[in-house]
Amino acid sequence: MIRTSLIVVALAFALAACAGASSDVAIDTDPFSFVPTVGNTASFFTITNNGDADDVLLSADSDLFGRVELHDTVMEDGAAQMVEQTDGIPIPAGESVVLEPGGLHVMLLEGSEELAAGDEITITLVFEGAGEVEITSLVRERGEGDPPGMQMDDMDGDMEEG
Amino acid sequence: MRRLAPFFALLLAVAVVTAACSADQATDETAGPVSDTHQASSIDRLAGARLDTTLIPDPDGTGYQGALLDQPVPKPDFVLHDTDGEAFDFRAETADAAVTMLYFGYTTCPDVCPTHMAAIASALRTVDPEVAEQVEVVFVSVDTINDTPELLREYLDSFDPDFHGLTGTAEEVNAVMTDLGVAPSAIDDMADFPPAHPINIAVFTGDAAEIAYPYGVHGGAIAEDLPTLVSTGVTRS
Repeated sequence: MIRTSLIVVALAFALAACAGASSDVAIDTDPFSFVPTVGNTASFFTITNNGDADDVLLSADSDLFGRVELHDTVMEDGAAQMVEQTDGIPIPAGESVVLEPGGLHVMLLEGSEELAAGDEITITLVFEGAGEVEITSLVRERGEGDPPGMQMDDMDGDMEEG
Repeated sequence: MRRLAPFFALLLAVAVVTAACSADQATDETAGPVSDTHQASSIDRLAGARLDTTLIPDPDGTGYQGALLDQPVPKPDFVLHDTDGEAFDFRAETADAAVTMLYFGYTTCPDVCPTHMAAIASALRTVDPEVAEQVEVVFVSVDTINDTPELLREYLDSFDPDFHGLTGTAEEVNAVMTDLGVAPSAIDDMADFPPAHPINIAVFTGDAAEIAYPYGVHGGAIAEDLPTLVSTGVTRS
């Protein structure tokens, strides 16, 4: 009996530890989208996993767009190709994943409404571990500083980071 | 030894549960996003500055915000259709322009195409109108299925109504791309969607392109080059 209860207690502890390895995702930067062109745009922001378990952004949805997909823009040999992330975007424990122009993004297609600078797009992100997280992506015009973070001077550095 | 048995059982139980616990995480790691940018970038630098490489401008060394190409690229000779459905003879239509910018993209392109178009439009609004009027911008669609002339017009109008939008069959567009020295990637089958496309803007001054703008160029950088490109073209130091 003692042996059995020891095993049960050990199992309980191990299971508790497993369940306790939870995902805790936070959106660190204010999500933004450029004014849509012919009904299409994207949303960019940074996701940080403050938990101790890996998580995956599985999908996203928005009432204002007919199709919402997770994409990466892959650039090589002077060409770009949009690659749908069919297995989702991994958000490893303790790490931040940046969705930014020229890279990972939530692609918003087939917009149902005319959107202008200042409008907001509500997007529901679905994580494997953290479940649903709602974000608000602020629509803005492209400015002189776009794409953000890509000054010609540090172009080399940006490309190296891949 | 018998006294140790519970400990082994306990260890085994913990090991089994822990293994089951971490199995999910292990599989997740294989699903990372694909990115060969670092590798491609290193190879490109060995390959030289061409329209099908990752270009890195050297403003301090060249005096231009754009990247100079190793070899001038002759202005291609082709006829496609503009957004009014009229035949557009590229060389003839741009013969009087001091500067012609040629770019390949598609209307549902997530960020590279609109970023480039917005940067060019911003540059043309920034420079002296006398400079701007000597510049022609030509956007050729690589998505021959979805980009109708009407949709392409609406798309380009959101940047600058003077931008030319061209469409053709995938075969016609790919012939132009091959002629220009970039990978042909126009599609006519949704199975191939989304199409790849060059990220560099080819800038013709006279009969050849000697300079191009890579992804990430800001409108201000193009505006800085335009007066020189319009008046004297590209002068190599």
